[in-house]
Amino acid sequence: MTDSRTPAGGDGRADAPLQRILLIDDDADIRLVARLALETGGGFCVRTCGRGADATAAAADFAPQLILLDVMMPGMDGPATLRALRATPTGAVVPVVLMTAKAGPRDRASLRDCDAVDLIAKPFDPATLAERVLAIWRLHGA
Amino acid sequence: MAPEDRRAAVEARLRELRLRFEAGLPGRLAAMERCCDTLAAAPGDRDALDTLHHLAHALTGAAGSFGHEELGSRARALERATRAWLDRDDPPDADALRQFGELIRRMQAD
Repeated sequence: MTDSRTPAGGDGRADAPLQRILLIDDDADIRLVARLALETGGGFCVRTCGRGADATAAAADFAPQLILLDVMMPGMDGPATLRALRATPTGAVVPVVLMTAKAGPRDRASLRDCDAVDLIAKPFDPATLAERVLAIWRLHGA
Repeated sequence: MAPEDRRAAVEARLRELRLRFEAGLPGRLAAMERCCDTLAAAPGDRDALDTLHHLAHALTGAAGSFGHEELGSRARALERATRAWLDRDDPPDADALRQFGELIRRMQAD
């Protein structure tokens, strides 16, 4: 699941340090723990969004450099949200990392077509989430 | 801040969130029980089955991140069991409903 495009990073600089992360997940507990892990553990500025339908507006307002997107959400699921994001100026090029409990080889293969740069398995370890996200950013965003 | 200090800071805040998650568990499991009650009365109620599936899916992701691996694995079993029935045309049978209920009871005991 690779993506060789250069991300816009909100300010248009491909080499900008990762600062702004948009997290889209319908589960309030996951939003809380992931935000804590990324803000406290990584010093990132995190905005959260509980519905796929709200993601495009949140992305336009926040200009995230990276998006963490839950795959399975009621209503607009992760792939549908990603398609909607890709149709917007802000979301067209921003790297998206899928978060899913279905992270086996077959699931990874089926998600390969989703235009995401990587996948983080749930449950994740809050103590290492920021490091994992930063490693992905260094590969695909910086 | 050094990596080990950042991890310690995350762990300290995580303890607070874990308590909050645990306080909300009875409500989550009660919602699952209500879905099972609905399915016992009307096994063909797809909304109840879908809701139960989503509740189990959400708990699968959250429980492990809060250090409740056993709870998370039971939630995953319930998620898979409900998914299997959502993929079928017929409603869950009595054995399936017993399995759903048993998994929820075990989660309540965890």
